[in-house]
Amino acid sequence: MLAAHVQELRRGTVVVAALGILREPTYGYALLEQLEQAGFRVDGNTLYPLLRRLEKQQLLTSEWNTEESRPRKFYRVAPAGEALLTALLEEWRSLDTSIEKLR
Amino acid sequence: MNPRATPTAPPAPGPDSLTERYVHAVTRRLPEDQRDDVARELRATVADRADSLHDAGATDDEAERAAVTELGDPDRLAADYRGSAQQLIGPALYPAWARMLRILLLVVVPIVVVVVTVVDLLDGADAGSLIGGAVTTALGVGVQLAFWVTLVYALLDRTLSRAEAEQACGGPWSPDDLPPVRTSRGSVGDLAASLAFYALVAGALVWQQLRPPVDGHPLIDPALWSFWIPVLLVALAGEAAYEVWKWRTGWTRRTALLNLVPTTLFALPLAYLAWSERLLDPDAVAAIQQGWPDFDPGVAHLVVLAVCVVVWVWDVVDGFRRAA
Repeated sequence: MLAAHVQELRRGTVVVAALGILREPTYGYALLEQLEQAGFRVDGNTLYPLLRRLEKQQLLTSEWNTEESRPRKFYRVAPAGEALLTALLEEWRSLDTSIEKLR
Repeated sequence: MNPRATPTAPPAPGPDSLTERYVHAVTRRLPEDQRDDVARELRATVADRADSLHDAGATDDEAERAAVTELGDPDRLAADYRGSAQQLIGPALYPAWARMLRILLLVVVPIVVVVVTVVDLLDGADAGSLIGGAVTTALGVGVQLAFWVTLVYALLDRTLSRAEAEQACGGPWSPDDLPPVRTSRGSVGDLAASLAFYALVAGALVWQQLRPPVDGHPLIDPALWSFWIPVLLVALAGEAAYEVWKWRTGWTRRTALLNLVPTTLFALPLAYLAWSERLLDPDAVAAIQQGWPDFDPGVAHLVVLAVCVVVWVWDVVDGFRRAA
């Protein structure tokens, strides 16, 4: 039961974490692994369409890197995404303050 | 950056490989301009994941299979990429769909069953085929209704925005829409009286045809059986179904508004027939005039018309008065 609630709590934080990581250009699977290492469990079939949506909303930009034998699509945060990340982090801190007051 | 070293990477998968079949299954339904881009990215992603599983000890085949399995149903993934709905009728329209279906099933099915049964009865069908016909009709009409209503709402779900959907459901919900609690239902006596009255009127319509009361002539023109009398019987069945529904939900503004449908369906044809002086059977009029030379069918029609209008107005006004 705890696991389900924790997962529910973390679901909305994937976007924040992804925007944070994507300050460095990163491709889908590497992002998935980095999120996992940071404790944000997300499935590929959720993350990859999410990246496309964020790109469509012009929060991310992307570029194909074909220098290696396996061409990969690298995503990075666009200025609008940077602004969104700042706003979301601010919201995060204000939530944290509110929660602390409840304890 | 995190470029993966891939010295042990397997050779690129062939056109019939699991990866290619999966990528094809996902991208075939995507808009054309996204197809190649998503396909390329998916190929790299599956390969990256397979490499990682391979490094952990899986064989190439196992790794590819596991990587594809993790991504799951290709139709679902494609819907995620398209951002399209993955339900037939979403939460915005579901309550309206359920209400509409319930009302239609409760009102239309009984009406049609009654009409079909009456028609069969007039055709002289026996009890077995009457019951069989009623059951078949109820099932057939029910399935048709459910199918078409669901189809319309599923299409609306795909074309309307959330705000439009709310508007289509009669605007945002308001506390005024609340039905009264069940304990304030109308009395069972009122309900029984109304139902008995409608049954009596319907019975009288059928009876005066089967047992012609005026010197062997029915009172109502038998020619009207081809269309108008069945309409009146349908309206009566509608009135009865409406009474039951009203008894279950109590009077509200919506009940009063809906009251217009069966009431008007009955009053309007009757008023029209009276106004155009087509209601009474000419043979019956002639038979009456033999014993009562002053009998004027025009006046009789006028009386029916007046009663019809007065009762209709009273019924409608009373409905709104009770709802208020």
